[in-house]
Amino acid sequence: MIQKKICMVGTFAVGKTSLVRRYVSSLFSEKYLTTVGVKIDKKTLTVDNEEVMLMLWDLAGEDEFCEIRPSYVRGSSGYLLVCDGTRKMSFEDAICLHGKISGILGDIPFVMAINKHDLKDDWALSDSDVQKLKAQGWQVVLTSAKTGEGVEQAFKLLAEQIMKQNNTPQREYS
Amino acid sequence: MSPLSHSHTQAIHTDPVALQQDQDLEQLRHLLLGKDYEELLALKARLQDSTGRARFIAEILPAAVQLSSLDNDRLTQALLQNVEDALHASVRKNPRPLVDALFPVIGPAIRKSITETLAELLQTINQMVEHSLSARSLKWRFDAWRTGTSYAEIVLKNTLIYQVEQAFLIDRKSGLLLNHISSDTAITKDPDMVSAMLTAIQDFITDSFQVNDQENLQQMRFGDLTVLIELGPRALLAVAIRGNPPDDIRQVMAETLEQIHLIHSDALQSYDGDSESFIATTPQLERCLLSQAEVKGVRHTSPLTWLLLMTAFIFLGYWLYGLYDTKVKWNTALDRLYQEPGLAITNTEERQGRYIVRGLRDELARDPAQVVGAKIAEQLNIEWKFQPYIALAPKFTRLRAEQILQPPDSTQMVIEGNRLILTGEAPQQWINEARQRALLIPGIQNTDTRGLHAAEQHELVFYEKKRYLESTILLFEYGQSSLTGQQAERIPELVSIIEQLKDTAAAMEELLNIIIIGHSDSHGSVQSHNEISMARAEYVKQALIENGLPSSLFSTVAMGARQPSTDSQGDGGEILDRRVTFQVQLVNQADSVEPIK
Ligand SMILES: Nc1nc2c(ncn2[C@@H]2O[C@H](COP(=O)(O)OP(=O)(O)OP(=O)(O)O)[C@@H](O)[C@H]2O)c(=O)[nH]1
Ligand SMILES: [Mg+2]
Repeated sequence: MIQKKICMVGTFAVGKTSLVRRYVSSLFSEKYLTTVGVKIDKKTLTVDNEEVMLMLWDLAGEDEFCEIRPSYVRGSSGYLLVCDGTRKMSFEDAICLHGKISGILGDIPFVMAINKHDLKDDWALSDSDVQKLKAQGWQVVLTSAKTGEGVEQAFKLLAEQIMKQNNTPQREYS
Repeated sequence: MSPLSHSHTQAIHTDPVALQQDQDLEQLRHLLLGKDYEELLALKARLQDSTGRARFIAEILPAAVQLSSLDNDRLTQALLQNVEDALHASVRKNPRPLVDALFPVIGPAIRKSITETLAELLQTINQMVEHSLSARSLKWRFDAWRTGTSYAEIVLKNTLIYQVEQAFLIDRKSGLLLNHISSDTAITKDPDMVSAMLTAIQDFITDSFQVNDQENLQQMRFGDLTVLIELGPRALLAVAIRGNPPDDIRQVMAETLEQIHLIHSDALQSYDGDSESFIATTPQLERCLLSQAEVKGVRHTSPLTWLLLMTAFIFLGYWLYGLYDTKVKWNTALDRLYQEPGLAITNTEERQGRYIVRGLRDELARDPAQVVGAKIAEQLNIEWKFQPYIALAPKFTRLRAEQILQPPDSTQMVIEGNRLILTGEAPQQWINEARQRALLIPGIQNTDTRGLHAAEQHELVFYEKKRYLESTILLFEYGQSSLTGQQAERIPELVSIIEQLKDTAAAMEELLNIIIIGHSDSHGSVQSHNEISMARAEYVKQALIENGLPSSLFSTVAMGARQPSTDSQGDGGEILDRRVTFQVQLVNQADSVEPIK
């Protein structure tokens, strides 16, 4: 079976841990327990009749703007960029983080998850913000760890991208 | 080509006059050199063209280097600096290629030197341990003796009980699991997660505590579980050990990791999540699944058990010794019993710690318990079962004869084989009885009484007193002829004996004559010997007369030093030479007495 390391990237409290929990164990909690260091989970799924095991590295969101710990993302085959749709700052942070990771790992697959889509009243992003990213070729998914909206899809998109790249192998050195 | 012609050629394109001249020269050269000139030109062109020159040198470079190195090390010296610089630059730029290249080489070299140092250290520890004498070390000593291994080895084994339960081969970069094996007894849970988590922990520590990038988390402990991590350039090897991890596990891990790097270097470099090809590392990883379970059995023997065992051994030893001791005592006892006259051992028996001795015992024989020794007899708890019998040993025959005949003092008894010889004087009646009774003595078949003289009671008294007086010796001080002290006090007793002799002699109607014989030691002249011995005899005679005995009874003889005492030997013995002795004669029996010279 193919294994792939995937990172959950995004600033604090955007719902990285919640998304993983929803995806892996179909559970959700309103309680906020910040992640220290890194938490690891795994999920097996099938992409194009091929089984793939995703090792999900749920990183702690940094308090500082646009901070990333390179040692954690090293060796990742892709990442889920998470932001909180009710916090504009987290959206900009995500874009910044993407830049940083590309600098470390090169162009590897990623998916942008704009989370907490159930909180439509507090929504802080405009359609144009999202469209701008899509125009650059980004894959953006609106998710909610609470309702489960878009969660499966976000991970599935990421896995598909990764497997596509896997079958047209290109070596990368860190 | 000379520098001169070179500068000349360069001038071609600058000066139009010179150009004309050159063309003429050219023609001249053609005429002079013909075809050779063309070749010369071609060679020139080739040398001027840098690619051509490079190719030219490349052709001969390997051979040139080889030749140079055969000759001397000038080339090496010349290149040294460059090579060093190149290495430095390479490491500065990216250390990985060099690390990759050197990793399989450096590991073994370092390990070898470490092993040697450790071996020395271990030796020291061995000696230390060997001198300690705990109960445990005694047990280990016993184990070493029992199994034929070195003591130090046993100590190691016993102090290092462990089991490597799992081994993880992990891609260093992604934390993805390359291969995982576990021992039969281990309970494994999601090795993929463990693998990622182990890597994450590493990263977490490196990140949080700002440690050197080259350093890594090497060991984690949780209760009796230890996780050891060995880092390679591409992969890391983690093992989970229950118990005390032995020192050599690190070495095994390092070797394993090196081997895997060597064999699977391509697969490691191009790893992209497909761990299939790393199943091949299983045999190598299995080397790490060490355990020390086999000695556990021995280890679990508790000190109490050993104590009990030891006590049992002591008791066994004691018992065996007792058994042996009894056996030895019993054998000595039997030896003594068999040799003892008057005892005939017919059968012996050992029954439940008791000994039974059966046989025959002469009533005159010693008590068998006394023969064996009272203490031993009691220890052995011997029961005697003797039947009475009559032993025919000369000793017993004699005893029996004395019992049966009860001879008077004046008779002597000799037994020769089965013959009893009686001599001396005895009353006629006793002689008659003795002749009859002797036949009742077991072991005696005939009796010889020819030397036996019949005597009446007073005669017996006479002979008894005669024998007494003749065995009496009076001793004198050196150079003295008079008696002193105890010797002088014996006179009254002698007087009474002589009076009895006189009376009995009278009863026998015989005349008594007592010869008093004086002796001297061998000091001085013969003359002085005679004088002093006579003086001593006269002194005694005078003393007896003074006590009321008639002088007619006595005669004196000076023996000088001619008859030294048979008892006197050596220096102190001379005391016995200075003496007076007696001889008793009946006048009409003078022929029976040895004449005195
Ligand atoms: N309403 C709503 N709340 C969410 C959603 N996702 C997460 N939350 C809440 O947001 C808070 C933070 O969620 P986490 O998943 O812990 O956030 P995180 O990104 O892991 O945070 P760090 O570990 O601190 O970086 C929690 O109280 C969650 O209940 C969502 O989709 N909808
Ligand atoms: Mg979290």
